[in-house]
Amino acid sequence: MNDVTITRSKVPRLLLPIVLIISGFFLVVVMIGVLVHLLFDYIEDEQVFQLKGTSSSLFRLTPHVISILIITVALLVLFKYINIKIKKSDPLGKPKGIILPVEILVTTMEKFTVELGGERLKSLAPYVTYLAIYLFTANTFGLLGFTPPPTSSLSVTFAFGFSTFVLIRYYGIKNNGMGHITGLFSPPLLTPINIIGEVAFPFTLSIRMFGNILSGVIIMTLVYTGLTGLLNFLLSLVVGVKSPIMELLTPLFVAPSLLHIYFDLFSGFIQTFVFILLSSVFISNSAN
Amino acid sequence: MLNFLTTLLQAASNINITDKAFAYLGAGIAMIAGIGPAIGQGYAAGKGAEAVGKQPEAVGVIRSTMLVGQAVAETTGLYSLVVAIIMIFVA
Repeated sequence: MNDVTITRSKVPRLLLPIVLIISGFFLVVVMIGVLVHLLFDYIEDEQVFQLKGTSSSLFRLTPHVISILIITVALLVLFKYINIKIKKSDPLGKPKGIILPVEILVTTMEKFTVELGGERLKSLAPYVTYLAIYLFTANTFGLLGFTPPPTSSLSVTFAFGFSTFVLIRYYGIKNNGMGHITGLFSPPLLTPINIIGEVAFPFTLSIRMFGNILSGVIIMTLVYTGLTGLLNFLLSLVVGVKSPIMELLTPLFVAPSLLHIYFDLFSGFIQTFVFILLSSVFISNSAN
Repeated sequence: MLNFLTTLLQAASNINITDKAFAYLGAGIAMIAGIGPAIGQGYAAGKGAEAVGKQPEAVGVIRSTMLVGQAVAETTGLYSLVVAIIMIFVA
């Protein structure tokens, strides 16, 4: 009995699951395509999907919304997978597999939050962790190319800045009571300056990230368009026609790869880090 | 030379200055503010390099502090970029 299980080859056992997964993937993509085709129609001028039967701008899928949907679904699937793995694992044993980097991430963010704000800000650590994961994924989404990164829209970054503003009020009122509000009026002459400082903070936080990511998107668009034009010109010298395939050959020049490393990975990481650092510093300032 | 000047004056009198012309001009003038972050961030990088020279084993902390400081100092340059983009596309 043992000899038969050892000498059986592995290839036929893996073929069926791999074929099923690949065809399942194609099936999901085709179903999404059919649904979008049934429910929306595509407006060419603005490149948006409008819900059929409506005409207001509330019912539009702009490219940023499509990126947000893709990121949300991907993160949900990833988090559910990690949850299943955590439930099956031994809490007192050594972490291995996917749980090891997750545990490192959670403990690092907890240490980061507690170091800045003290022990009572430990309940802030999940918000900081979620901001770090989501903003890093959203900022580096420009690597994919077919949709813009969601944080290149001021609405998205202002939503994050506004949530930080709400948390500053919450932790301030929870720790200081009404002193948090009357603290604005304490030197009576400085009240307008205090109010403007508090109100302007989420705006600076959001415009910093928006400006950095948007300028990266603009420069990458210019570089890709320029290189595509150059390749089309060379092709027209040789053959006499222009072709849309030339856009796919632009990574042959080294410049787009280097610019992606700077604008998407480096700049995206720095902006995420600055956002969560400033959020936690201001929240811990308002809590004491 | 005189021919060129008369052509220029004739072209100038045919120009139809629309509302958008001053918006584009304003966008260009707004980006003069890009000089500020460049000087500030360069100065911070110099101070960071000096600090690494004085104490080479603190390179990690110095690098993180310098990058965070430079990212915050970039904000006013980005304000001018947002104003320029508003000028071009909205106003």
